[in-house]
Amino acid sequence: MKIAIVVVVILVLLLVLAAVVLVRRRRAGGRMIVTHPDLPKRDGP
Amino acid sequence: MSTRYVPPLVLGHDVVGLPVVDASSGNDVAEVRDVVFDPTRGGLVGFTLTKRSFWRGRMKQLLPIEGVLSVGTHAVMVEDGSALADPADAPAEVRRADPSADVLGNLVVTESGRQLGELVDVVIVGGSAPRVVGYRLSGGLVGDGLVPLHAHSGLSSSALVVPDDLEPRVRSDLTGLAAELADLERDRS
Repeated sequence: MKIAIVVVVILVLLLVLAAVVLVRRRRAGGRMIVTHPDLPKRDGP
Repeated sequence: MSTRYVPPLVLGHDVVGLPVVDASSGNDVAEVRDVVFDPTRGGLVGFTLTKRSFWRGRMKQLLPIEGVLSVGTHAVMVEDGSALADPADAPAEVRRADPSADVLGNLVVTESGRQLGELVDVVIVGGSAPRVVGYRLSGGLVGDGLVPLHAHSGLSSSALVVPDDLEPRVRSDLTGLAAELADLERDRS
């Protein structure tokens, strides 16, 4: 019984750790940021 | 016979996560986190960075474009570790890059009011003078496609307004976009 509880606790901890890693990686950027968000008109290249 | 180097066309999301490699030592010193560019000229001005570790925490240091030797398909090359700059020493346009000025998710609308789609990525020409040359759209009138960044009428935090004549220039892949950019270059010269 005790072993089962320990195994479950370890599994839960591993799941929490995996979730934290996933969230951190998802927040790890990937933005395309412009220097001038309000852009004047641009004509041609 | 010499081979001419042609800078590659890459999607912005493919640049994110690339290792930043110190060309003098061969060590990877960071990872690309965000791309910062000037929409008026398309030129990249720098990158924000992530640590090269399991936890991938954000690095305080920034990578101004002046320190970049080349943006390739598998790495961003810098001359040495001094290319990374502390925020206080970085050029203002990199230092002041506002994460809320992210163009992804912007609606792309023509001057006549037709919604072409949502901006889901940028197209970058790599090499030693990397710049944004196009956008990838999705989910609108034109479906999934790539359009050249040759002209636009306005950009806000939520929308990019483009000329009406951009609609027929939508291409389905990077090869098509490269041909379209070559056409535009020819028209211009």
